[in-house]
Amino acid sequence: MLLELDNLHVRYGRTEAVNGVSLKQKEGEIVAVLGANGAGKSSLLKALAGIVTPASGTIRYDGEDITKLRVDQRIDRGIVLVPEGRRILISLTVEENLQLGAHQRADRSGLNDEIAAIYDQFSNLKERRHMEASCLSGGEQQMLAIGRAMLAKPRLMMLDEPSLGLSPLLVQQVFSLISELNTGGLSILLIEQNTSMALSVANHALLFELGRTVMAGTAEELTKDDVLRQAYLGG
Amino acid sequence: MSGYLSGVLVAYLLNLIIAYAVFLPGAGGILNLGVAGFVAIGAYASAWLSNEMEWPLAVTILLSMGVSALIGLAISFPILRTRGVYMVLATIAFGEVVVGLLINVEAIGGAAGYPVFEFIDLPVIALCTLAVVLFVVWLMSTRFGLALRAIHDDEPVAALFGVSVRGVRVAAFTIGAAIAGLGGALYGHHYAYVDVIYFTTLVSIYTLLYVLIGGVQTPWGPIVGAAVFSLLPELFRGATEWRYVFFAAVIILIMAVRPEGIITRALLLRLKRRGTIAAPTKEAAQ
Repeated sequence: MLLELDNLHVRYGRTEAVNGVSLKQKEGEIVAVLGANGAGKSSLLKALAGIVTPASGTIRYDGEDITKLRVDQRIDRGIVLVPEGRRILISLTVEENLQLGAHQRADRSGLNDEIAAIYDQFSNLKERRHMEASCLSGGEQQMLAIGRAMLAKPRLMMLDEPSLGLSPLLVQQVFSLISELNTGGLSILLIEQNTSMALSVANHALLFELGRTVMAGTAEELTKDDVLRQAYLGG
Repeated sequence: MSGYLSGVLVAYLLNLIIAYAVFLPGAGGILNLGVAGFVAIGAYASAWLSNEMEWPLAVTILLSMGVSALIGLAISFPILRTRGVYMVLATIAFGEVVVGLLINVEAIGGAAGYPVFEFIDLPVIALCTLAVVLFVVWLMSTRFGLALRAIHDDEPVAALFGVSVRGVRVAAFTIGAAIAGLGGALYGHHYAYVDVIYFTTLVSIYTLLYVLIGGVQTPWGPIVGAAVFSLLPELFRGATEWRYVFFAAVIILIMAVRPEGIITRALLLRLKRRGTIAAPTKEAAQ
């Protein structure tokens, strides 16, 4: 198993955001965490990235207990988060945003080639490499956010609502990029409100309600489930 | 060079050094309104070491920077716990405490001020200023500089990519304190006299204004900002009592037209692109 969560709890004061979640993800899989706003999905990813400390429970990664590791130690192990809302640094240039992704990397050889590879894939980013990132459109910003995370050399990439605020066409593009990255061997943990898109790329999925897993299974099983279809897939 | 011109130039260069002491933490979003305190520490430390110990100036200046940096390092931890207006108040308080302590030390003249015997003139000050400018420009081009600007933009995201937010901020504040110490040491040795009344909070406020007017986004901002404040009043000297009215009007105008400062990153990027015709402009790309 690449990632194993056992009975994870995250609390903010008295509010229980994540209430005893267990999850297993194999290397090379896409796992989608589905659910409405406020279901605790983002808190789960924050706990995995090391931004918030779980109140209890364990996170095992590649056989190692990483529950108490700092953010930078998790990045060293290849756990990288693409935050909700993309969070591009708008007063930095496109290229500086990419370089920030590589901040934690000790091995910097090949960095320029990797940046060049990202530019090859996204010509819009290349054209604007020396402009402030504020000039990018929403879709370009999402590509930059993913490119930035790629430069941290992830083994497990976590994406928090990558489709948020994007047009349907751009959502398609983002998800085909996610599939592509996965085909290249990257494991992906995905949080989405766009249930149908998420299920179309995921191997496994969990449905969250109020910090608990209320349903889990393969993406196929969940796609066929009547309750899920009615509540989240519009019949 | 006439005495008047070199006098104005020295004032500008010293202001510029101190401006970098404010710029560096400022680039990471830290407002230091206690910079005059670090300038005072540097001035008194180098003056005392050269007067009493009779050590060479190179040694006393480096030591005074070290003392200022150590005190900066020590107070950066409580100060960086505060945010926004509380940080402003905490740094002002630091500056006032330094002045309050120095005025009560008889060994360095107390309220009567302290004469400084070793003299430093314009060429050395110019070289030191150049060194500070080059150092800060270099520092801002490194990974440290990128981390500092990332913290200024979005602290949680900087942390998300492994930037040690606290470490980078402490380092910026401490290096800033060392630069302020250098400015203070040069000040004392040039004017041959130090007195706590030269290191009030007003000095800190002015210095912050140089940085804000020049622009906090690039290390070139303080050069312009300090020039506006140090040289512009001289140009209006002919207008006698009206000169500060003109000066204030110009400052207000600059702040209205360029709220991010005169030298912004966008401006520099535009200038750079003008140099390379092949690169598409923002307008052409859209």
